[in-house]
Amino acid sequence: MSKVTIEKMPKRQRFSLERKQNLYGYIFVLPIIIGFACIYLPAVIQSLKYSFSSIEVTSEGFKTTFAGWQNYYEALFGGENFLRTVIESTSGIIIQIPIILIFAFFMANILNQNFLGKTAARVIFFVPVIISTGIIAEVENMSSMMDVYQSAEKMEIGSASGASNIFNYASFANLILQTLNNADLANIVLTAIESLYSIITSSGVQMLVFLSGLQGISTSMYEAAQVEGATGWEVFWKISFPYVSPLILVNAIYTVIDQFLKADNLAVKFIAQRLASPSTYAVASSLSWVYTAVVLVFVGVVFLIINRMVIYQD
Amino acid sequence: MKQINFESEVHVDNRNFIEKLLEKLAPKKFEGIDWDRWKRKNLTLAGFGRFCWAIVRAVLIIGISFMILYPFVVKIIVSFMSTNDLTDKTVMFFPREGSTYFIQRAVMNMDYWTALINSIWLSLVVSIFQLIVSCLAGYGFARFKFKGSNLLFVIVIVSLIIPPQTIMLPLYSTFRYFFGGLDLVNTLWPLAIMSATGLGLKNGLYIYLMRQFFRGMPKELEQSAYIDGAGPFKTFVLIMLPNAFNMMITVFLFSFTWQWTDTTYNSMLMPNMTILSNTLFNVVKGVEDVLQQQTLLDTGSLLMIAPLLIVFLFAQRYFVQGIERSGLVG
Repeated sequence: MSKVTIEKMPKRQRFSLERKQNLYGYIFVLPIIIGFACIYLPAVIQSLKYSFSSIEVTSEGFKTTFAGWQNYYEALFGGENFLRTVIESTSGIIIQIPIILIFAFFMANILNQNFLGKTAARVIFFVPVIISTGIIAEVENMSSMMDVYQSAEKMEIGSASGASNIFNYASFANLILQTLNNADLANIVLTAIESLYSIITSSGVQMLVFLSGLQGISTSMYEAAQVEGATGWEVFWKISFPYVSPLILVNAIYTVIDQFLKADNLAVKFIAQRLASPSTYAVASSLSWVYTAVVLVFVGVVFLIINRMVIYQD
Repeated sequence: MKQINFESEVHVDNRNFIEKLLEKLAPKKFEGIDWDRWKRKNLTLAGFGRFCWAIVRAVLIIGISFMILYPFVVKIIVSFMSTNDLTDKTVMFFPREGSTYFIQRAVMNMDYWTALINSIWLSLVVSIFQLIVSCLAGYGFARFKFKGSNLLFVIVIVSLIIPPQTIMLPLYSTFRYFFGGLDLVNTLWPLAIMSATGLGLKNGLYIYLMRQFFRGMPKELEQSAYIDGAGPFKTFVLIMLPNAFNMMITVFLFSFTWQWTDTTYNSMLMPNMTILSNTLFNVVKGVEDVLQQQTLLDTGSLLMIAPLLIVFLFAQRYFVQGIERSGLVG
């Protein structure tokens, strides 16, 4: 009798502990499971159903009839050139991603150093994380559009597109034009300043994440490198870079999602406009599923490319 | 037995921000410079390199800070201008007459005080629910290996990728006819329910952040609590949450501000409620002049940001620290 219990005891105990753990895990994620099962999944299925049907607006409300792949066909090859919009915005994003990542990494390195006013600089650099979102960003876009409209009226600056929110943009542009004495050059300088502003405002979260990684490196490693006589350049490439390289992956994926789903993204605007009116709703919902697939593929590609370059510690 | 006093070993900094600043600004005790040592240290090639780098760094940081702060300074100045100042060509920066006309007008058009209170209430409810859900779920994903946990986590990440506009109409009809007939549109309920079930704005990101944070905490903490007889919930509440305080502040701030400025959910699920993100565009009501419209928009967005900036200023200490200590690793 006693032998049997000794043999059985450990097995049974482990099993029950595992089971207990499973149970507690489910309890912790229960809110998410409920939300997903009761609200999110039905909404997703409904939206997919809309994308496969044609919608008629009648006096009683919406009337849907199954229409097969027709919406998708119209979305992709119809007259409205959705594909071109996607390709246009995507090519812009492909250029922006490495710039944002490099800038965020560089600035995180600088903010990680010791200098006068470090705290103030950190606070200021993270303000765009909070400000450049949602309706505030919309207002900025609007007023910068007014700026361009005014400057185009008053001076002949040409296409200074998406001006940053610089007060009296016209006079600022005029100043640069006068100092450089060359319209083409002035345009290039102005465009550079504007894109720098957009890069600064869209790399705040990434900077935070990189900074968190850099703070995690123990100082003894730097000290050892210094004793061995490593230069700053070597320390950067041999210690800082490998250590935070897993974060490059996190940041790259965050940047991709953030850039693709921004409210002022051309494709998002395109879809949102058509989702707003009932007559184009069905086509628009198929458009947005196509777009989701594009973003998913893009995230996958970025993951595969960057995952190879990441140096894992373990 | 010798009693170990932990309090005495931990240095607790109780001074407030101003005291610290004063100490930093106060002139250090001058002890004379060891010139030989200074020369050996700084009058070399490496010292020169350091000097150049310090200058480049200063230029970069000051320049970028300027770019970030400039629009704000301009907005503040512009909102104190009078209508004459706006059109006066000789007024470059500082208003000559100055008035609070635009501020008063913006406050009136936006229905500012009502909208402010409603917005605070809405953002508080949503962000507290989001915080609770992401703490729970983050801990669940970080420490328990249950069947389907990986799949569920992938779903959480994918839900970040699906544009919210896609499922907006089905969501709208869900809440328009909730449980077969309850009309919840234009109340707080839709967003409260969604954030309590992990479907709020960017909730996947918060869950991911909390998960990474809890993964980085040493397991010994919990094991000792388990040995002492605490259950998982007691351990979670008494051991894990107090350690995650900074990270929780960070997540709370993110969700509070992003909810504050959100338009996608707000305009669809509560289009008629008096909240700041709905009333901001009313600010140009009854004004024809483009320049004045723009000034009103600037003033309005400044009024909308102001509460956020105050919250941010008070919380920035935890905000920067929280992320730094999160131990985020791929």
